[in-house]
Amino acid sequence: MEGYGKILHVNLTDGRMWVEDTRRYADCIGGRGLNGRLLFSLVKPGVDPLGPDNVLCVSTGPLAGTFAPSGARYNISARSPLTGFFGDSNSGGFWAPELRYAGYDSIVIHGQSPEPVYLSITEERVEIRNAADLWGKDTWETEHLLKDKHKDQRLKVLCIGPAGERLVRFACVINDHARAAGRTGMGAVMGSKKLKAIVVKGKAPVRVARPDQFYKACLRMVDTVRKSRQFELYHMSGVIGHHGREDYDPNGRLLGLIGFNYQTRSVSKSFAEVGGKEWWRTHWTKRKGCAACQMHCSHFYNVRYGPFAGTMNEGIDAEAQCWLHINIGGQSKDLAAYGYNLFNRFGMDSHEMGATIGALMLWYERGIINDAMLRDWKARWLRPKWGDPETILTLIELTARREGIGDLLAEGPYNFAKKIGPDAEYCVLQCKGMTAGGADRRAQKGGLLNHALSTRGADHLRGSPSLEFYGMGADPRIAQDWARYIAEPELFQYATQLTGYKAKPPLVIWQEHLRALSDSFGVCSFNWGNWPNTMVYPDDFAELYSSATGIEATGRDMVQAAERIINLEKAFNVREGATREHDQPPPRWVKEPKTEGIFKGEYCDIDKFNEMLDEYYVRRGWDKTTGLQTRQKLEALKLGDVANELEKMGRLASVKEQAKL
Amino acid sequence: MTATTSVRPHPNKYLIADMDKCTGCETCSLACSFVKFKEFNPAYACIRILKFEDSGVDAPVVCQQCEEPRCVEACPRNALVVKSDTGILFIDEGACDGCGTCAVACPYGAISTHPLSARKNKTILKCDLCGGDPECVKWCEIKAIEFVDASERERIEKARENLLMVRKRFEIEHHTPLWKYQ
Repeated sequence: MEGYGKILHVNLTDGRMWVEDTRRYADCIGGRGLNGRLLFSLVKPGVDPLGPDNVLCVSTGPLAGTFAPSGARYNISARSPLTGFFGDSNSGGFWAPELRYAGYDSIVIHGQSPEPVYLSITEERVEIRNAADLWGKDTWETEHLLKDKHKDQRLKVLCIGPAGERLVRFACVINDHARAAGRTGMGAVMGSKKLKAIVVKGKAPVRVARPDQFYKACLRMVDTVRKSRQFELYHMSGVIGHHGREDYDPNGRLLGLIGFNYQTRSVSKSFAEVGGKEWWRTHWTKRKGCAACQMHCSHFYNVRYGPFAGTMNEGIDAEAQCWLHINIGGQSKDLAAYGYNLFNRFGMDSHEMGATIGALMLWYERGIINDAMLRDWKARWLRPKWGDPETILTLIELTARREGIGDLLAEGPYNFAKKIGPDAEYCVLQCKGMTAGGADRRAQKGGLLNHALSTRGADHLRGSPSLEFYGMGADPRIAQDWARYIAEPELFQYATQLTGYKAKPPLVIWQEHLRALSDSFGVCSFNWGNWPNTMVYPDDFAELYSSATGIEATGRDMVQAAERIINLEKAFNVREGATREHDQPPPRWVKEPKTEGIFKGEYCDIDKFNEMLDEYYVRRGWDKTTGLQTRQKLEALKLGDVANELEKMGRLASVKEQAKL
Repeated sequence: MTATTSVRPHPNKYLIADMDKCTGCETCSLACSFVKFKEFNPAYACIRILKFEDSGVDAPVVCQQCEEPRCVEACPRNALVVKSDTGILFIDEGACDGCGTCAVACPYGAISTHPLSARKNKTILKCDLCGGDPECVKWCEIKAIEFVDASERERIEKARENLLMVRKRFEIEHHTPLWKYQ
């Protein structure tokens, strides 16, 4: 393939397969953007996410498989069984490049198999094979068995574990042993289709349109990444780069970021123990990385002593450490390491499960649940006090197997909370039904806005701005970039004020665009999408895009592509019933100011938040009051079909509303 | 194997790998495949990373420019030659008929064949140090592969020893010759 290859469609109900050229969708780039475009067309609103009419898209982008830094990633998307909205998750490793060596950029799974199967893909043939002997096995066993079965230790395996098979609503997908597409329950969608794994091995080459230009541009990108603040942080301290490091930010801003005890505390004695320095001292043996990436942020741990001796894996992921330790009053890094291995092997989102545990502990502390209720839930043994190891480990296991109380928890913490009552719902930090991360965003107002707007639910990865943590006196290029790309120069001073509301909407929009592009090019946000931690711009994306695919594009084209991608996801959600009410922050961040620490007193002022939201909608060309999209904006993005469909449903901003803009 | 008397002119510098530093990112393989073929697929590279995911081992496998090369001994067409000025062992493609005997003979599993090769006339993949300016080294951020002076005998021998041992480990665990791992 040169630049782009093919999209493979597979219908598991009748075994039909067909292909189309990815190039048709080049204006959505690939990866996440391609998935959004495909899902809007292929999925009808209101389908059962665990039924045969949901469609699962697994796509990578035009830089995957090359030596563009971190050209290693794919997105897996569908209607989410956890939220009912746009489900989407991203993962690295080596699976995505291999898909490209087999000639494909994307696999689209339709229908449902009656029996467990797996998909085997090479550039010569695609087969649906029986997976009866794999069903029930954990993801590591599954990968070993498939490599042996195919007599190929270089086979790339993407699979689900018992959690996905049992339709845990936040089950995840694991590839290459140590990588996860964690969020929104894509593992459950795979499980509902009885698809155990997708294995791929490609002997064909990936080519680029202008090799010499591509080579030079990639070397330049490698240099940019190598000199970046992101590199400094994550190369040393792994993905947990910002944990435990009081020295990272002299103003101590990051101390205001981390939440303890499900974001009810802001200081903790144990925090220093979970930083990179400690992990190097106790467990890490080396650095590891994804395909073509020089960040090497994934470190390898080997727990040598104690009850979990022999626990080995790449990690620990930052969110996982939040949810196995920091946020739930945890005391043991070793337990976090072991728990993390369980999540990998069961194929379950550490984040959503950890938030469930955190919620249970908070409900118990506040008397929202009591021993009698625990008895009713077949959990009379449960003592959900902060940090209780038995609680943590047993709940993980029961949920993965949907046994006892695990069957209730497997529905997702917010869905479970709804069964208990409004007090329980209130405690869960969520937007659109997906829980927020381990970081506490009450002080970081841009991050707050981003969480509420994120198209897949509460999440920092779709646009939380890192600029807010820099303050004045940072690299002078940053102010220039602001004036050039983001908004009016006089607003810059406000953008760097962490706790201020002003200037945050354009900053969030900028960050959303960079992340959308990263996620669509098949590269990693750590390298490409986290300005100003890495100084990467739409022009950089444009140059790699053009030299790889031969399609001429400018930085402006890239920004427009990012807008297109965001608008498709927004439209998908609107079609499923999302309104302005779904673009709101978690109530607890509104009603409960921080009680301690350097940002004591910070909270989300809902009026100021709604002013930010109004401004965001207007800057995006949407209706100021409802947030609904306009025909004018959608047609400018060549999404006329989207406008037509939304209009039929009465979910397009009316002409009267448009006139106001 | 500490022979200081070479049976052939030797290179001035050697490519050595530290498998405790190697992160397994395979950028080296991509760089190699690109400079050789202007295409990307790590299976086309003359440097491959042998991985043991459970234990986190990543071992770069690449030609060791042996003093007494078994591939030269094994080649029925004398297609493996040493360039007299650089001392680098490489393949004379005019003489090579792609039989692949060299790959089987290499004690390090460092010679492989291009996966799209014709069955009877394979394209042999063996590192030739890019003529003296290896591309892979330029791309290795963590400096797990280094281009060191021939006088660094101890480091060169240690790297070879580790590579031999990791090859044995692979073949014991997977009952497959290492040269087929790509």
